[in-house]
Amino acid sequence: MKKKQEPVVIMMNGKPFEVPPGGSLGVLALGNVGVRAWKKAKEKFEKKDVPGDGKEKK
Amino acid sequence: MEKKKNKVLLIGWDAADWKIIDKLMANGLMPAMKSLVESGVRGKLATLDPPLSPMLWTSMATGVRPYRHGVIGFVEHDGKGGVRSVSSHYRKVKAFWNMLTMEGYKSNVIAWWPSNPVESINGCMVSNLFQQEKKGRETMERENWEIPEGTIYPESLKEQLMELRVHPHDITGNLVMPFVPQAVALDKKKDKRLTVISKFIAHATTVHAACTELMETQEWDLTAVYHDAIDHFSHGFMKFHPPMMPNRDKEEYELFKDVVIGAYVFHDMMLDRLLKMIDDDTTVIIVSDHGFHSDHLRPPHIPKVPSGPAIEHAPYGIFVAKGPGIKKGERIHGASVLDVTPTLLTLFDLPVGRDMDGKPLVNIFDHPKTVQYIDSWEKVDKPGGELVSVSEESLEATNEAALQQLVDLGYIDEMKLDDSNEDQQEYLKGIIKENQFYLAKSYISGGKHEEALEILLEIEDKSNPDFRFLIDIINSAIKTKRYPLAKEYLNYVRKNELMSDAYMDTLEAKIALGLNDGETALKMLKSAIKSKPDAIEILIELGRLFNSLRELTKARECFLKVIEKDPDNAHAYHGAGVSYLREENYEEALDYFLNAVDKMHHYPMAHFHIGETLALMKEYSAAIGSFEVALTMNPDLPKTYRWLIDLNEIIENQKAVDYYKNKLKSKIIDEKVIITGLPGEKLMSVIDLLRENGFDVKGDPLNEAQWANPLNNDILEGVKEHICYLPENMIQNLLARYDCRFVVVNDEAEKVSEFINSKARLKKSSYNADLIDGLVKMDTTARIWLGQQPNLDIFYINELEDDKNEMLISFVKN
Amino acid sequence: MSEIIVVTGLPRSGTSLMMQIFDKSGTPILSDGIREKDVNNPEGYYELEAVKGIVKDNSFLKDAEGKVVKIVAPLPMFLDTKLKYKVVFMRREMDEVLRSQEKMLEKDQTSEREKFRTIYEFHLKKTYKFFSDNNIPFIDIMYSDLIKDPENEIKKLIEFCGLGSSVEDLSVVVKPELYRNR
Repeated sequence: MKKKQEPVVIMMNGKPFEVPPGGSLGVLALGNVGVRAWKKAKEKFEKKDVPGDGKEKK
Repeated sequence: MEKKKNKVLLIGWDAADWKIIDKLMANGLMPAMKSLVESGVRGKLATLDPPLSPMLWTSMATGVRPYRHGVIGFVEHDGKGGVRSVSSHYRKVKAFWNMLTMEGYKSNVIAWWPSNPVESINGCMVSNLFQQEKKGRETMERENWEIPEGTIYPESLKEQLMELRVHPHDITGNLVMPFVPQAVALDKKKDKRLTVISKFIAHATTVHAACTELMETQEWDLTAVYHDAIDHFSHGFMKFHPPMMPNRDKEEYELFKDVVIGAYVFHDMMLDRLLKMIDDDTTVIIVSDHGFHSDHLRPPHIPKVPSGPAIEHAPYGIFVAKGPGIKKGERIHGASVLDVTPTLLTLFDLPVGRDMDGKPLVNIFDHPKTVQYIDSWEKVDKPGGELVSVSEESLEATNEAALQQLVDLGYIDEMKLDDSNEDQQEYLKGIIKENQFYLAKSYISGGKHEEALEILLEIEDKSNPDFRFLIDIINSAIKTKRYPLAKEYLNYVRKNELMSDAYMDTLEAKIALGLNDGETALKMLKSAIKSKPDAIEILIELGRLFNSLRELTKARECFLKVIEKDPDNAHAYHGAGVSYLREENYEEALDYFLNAVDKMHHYPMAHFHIGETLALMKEYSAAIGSFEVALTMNPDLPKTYRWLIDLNEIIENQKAVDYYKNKLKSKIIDEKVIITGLPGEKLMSVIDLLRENGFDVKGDPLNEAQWANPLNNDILEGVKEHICYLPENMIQNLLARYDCRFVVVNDEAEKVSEFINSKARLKKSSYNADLIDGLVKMDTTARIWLGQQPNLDIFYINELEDDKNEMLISFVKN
Repeated sequence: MSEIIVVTGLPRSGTSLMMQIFDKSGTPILSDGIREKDVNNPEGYYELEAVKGIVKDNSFLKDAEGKVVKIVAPLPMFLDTKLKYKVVFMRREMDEVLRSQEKMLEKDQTSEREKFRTIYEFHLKKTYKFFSDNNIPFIDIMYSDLIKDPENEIKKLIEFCGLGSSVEDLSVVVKPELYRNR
């Protein structure tokens, strides 16, 4: 059973932004922060079962 | 004490162009750039010829021209039978990251082109292969995405940075949509263009991620990052940028018209992030190596030659700088790609090398900035970082093209480049040849036509003629005054119909001009303009010729036509200015000259003419200023010094007078008095008179054979005498480094022809008419030439009279 | 220590004639033993195969002390600068060189005369520069002077190279008819 993953959120222009697994140019434009967040969002999207607690890696 | 300086962030956007940026800023689509421009300085950055990115970005990083730094192509021989993307192996001089390392400053250098293998600098370096997903011709999959040796320094950063890479396959449809809103309408499998866009986005993202990571996690004084995406996007999609180009498919246009805009917008978004990561004490500089035509100057076709796409490049890139001590909201002029490193050095209060071809842009500062100098950074014996991996086949930079010539002449045996097969050998030789061509072009761009000609003759191959080489051979031959050589190649080109008639006519006109044959030159240019009435280059040549023939209205017509077509054409403004100057309409002349230097700051002749015009308007101090500028740009023209001496005498600045007199002395090889005129009895008498008065006069008007072609094209080489006779058709060949005074003997062509005939013991009727024609022509063109030389001391003799003789003798004495 | 004597110059500038003069003087010719002295092709004897490979391998010069070798310009640029040389630079009017070359080649080369003139000029320049940069002593011998007035030129040669022969002995090579009756 697929557990709902907590979305990856980053700050963009001072506001929280949910990073879609497909990414967005705005996220990419953030550089290292954006790429990491995007990869995480993708990873979460691709996982079928997650035993984790959704804690952020970094 | 810590030598802490303010930080500098240097951003390189390949091919970024003001024409596009200005429009986007006006539409609110580039807010980050707008904020920089409004609170800093902006200007155009002049590119170098050939405008090829690896050469240019290395010039930016070193402050010297390609023939000095050694990076002369896109690819190079890898010593193993193949080619590889140009690397840092061939760079012969220090780059700014080495210089900063030597002085203890830390740098992050990300993806500079070329920078593989990286160097062990003080700080971090990520090479331009970091973002590459291709290994040779294969595309590496995300899971097996290795990076080649020498990509990251220090190695300890490898893991941290590698996880930040974005693979083109990761770029999903929604990321491409802002560039191609109708992307769904395209069949991704058939239309490679979407893949290509994905690739560019992936590369830009990867570079940006590495850059931001290093800025955030490492200590740094300078961060320098390079993006090639705008150039790639532009080459691929500028043809679809609005307004729609004629003969384009409307559907395609609709599909791809937003791509270039999207590229710039994305770069602005990345810029926004970078700006948020730095403080107000950090200086930000954005540069591009050349512009990109985006309007009616977009070429309709790309020629099918290597680096043909470079025809889409425009001569000016961008320069923006903002930071403490830098002017706000102002424009600067006269910057070129060669000035970036000198400016960086100045920002860090480090000395600039006197041997650099560029200069620090001190006009960006809001306060006077003292610049220090050293002879050369190459002489500084401190560690600046070494290549982290050197290929085993340590390739000597042997001049393989020159060797091929020796092989072709039969002097040496055929040389195998390595163990590759014949086809590969041919391919490699082609690459080497192409790079040598770029080297030759770099020499031409630096005014070193002898060196260029030498290389061009080495690579020229009539069994496989390349019209680009031939054009430059002809032009360099003309520039080095080797007119018979130019003619020989022009004949070859005409015979084989290798170029358009109009172009060949223009070249023939240039040769004719060099040979003082104004008539043929005019004929050729008129013929050229008939077939190509709008050709800018031909109009400029024609205008110049009309100026020299004093047909000033016609000259102006040509130049104004060019200005209409290309309002940025500095040469046209200059030419129009000259026509006004000759008419003594100084106000108009000045206006046009000022326009010329506004379009192209590095235009010594234009500055010289501004000086002249101001001098004639009696604005002596201002004139002095302009001549001084002309002098820094071209320190080899004696006439500039002479003006400065004369003008400083007028304003009674004796110190300056002495200074320039001394400078002139060190510049000049020799001062000479040249006797010239039609070779008749009068001329002979003048020479006899001088000899009778104890002067040694070299030359015999009746002996043509004495003017054998010297090795150096210096017709006065080896002439020790102070006074020398030169036939009228040779005075134009005098090298500018001689400071000459002229004695011109006036005589009538008919009388002279009789004299010549009598000496040759020929009958009067035999060829008199032609001889007279020839003499008249020669005399006219000589006088035109003399008339064009400003500030020349000329003594005209009509008759040998006693009182005049005394004046002649005192003129001729030192 | 005797130097290596290098006879250089543009092709057809009299380098072979100069080699013959050295041969007559008893100076050993650097030979690879591949070619025999052939009456029918005396000039061939002076062409050293190894010179053609000088770019990649100039080690053949190690055996050349006290000997004379012909190396057409600009190949002297590849000399091993650690050895010592004396250079005899044969010079000839450029137009004569070009005409002589054109005659030798089968096809009509006059359409490339200026190209070759320029190339040869560059070769001369480079070769002279190499000698001056590396302090290699040289004398210029004008081919036309050698033919017209061999004794004078040969005197210069003998002095420069310290040859043991007499002027007359060597002049015979240039003008055998002068000495027919001796």
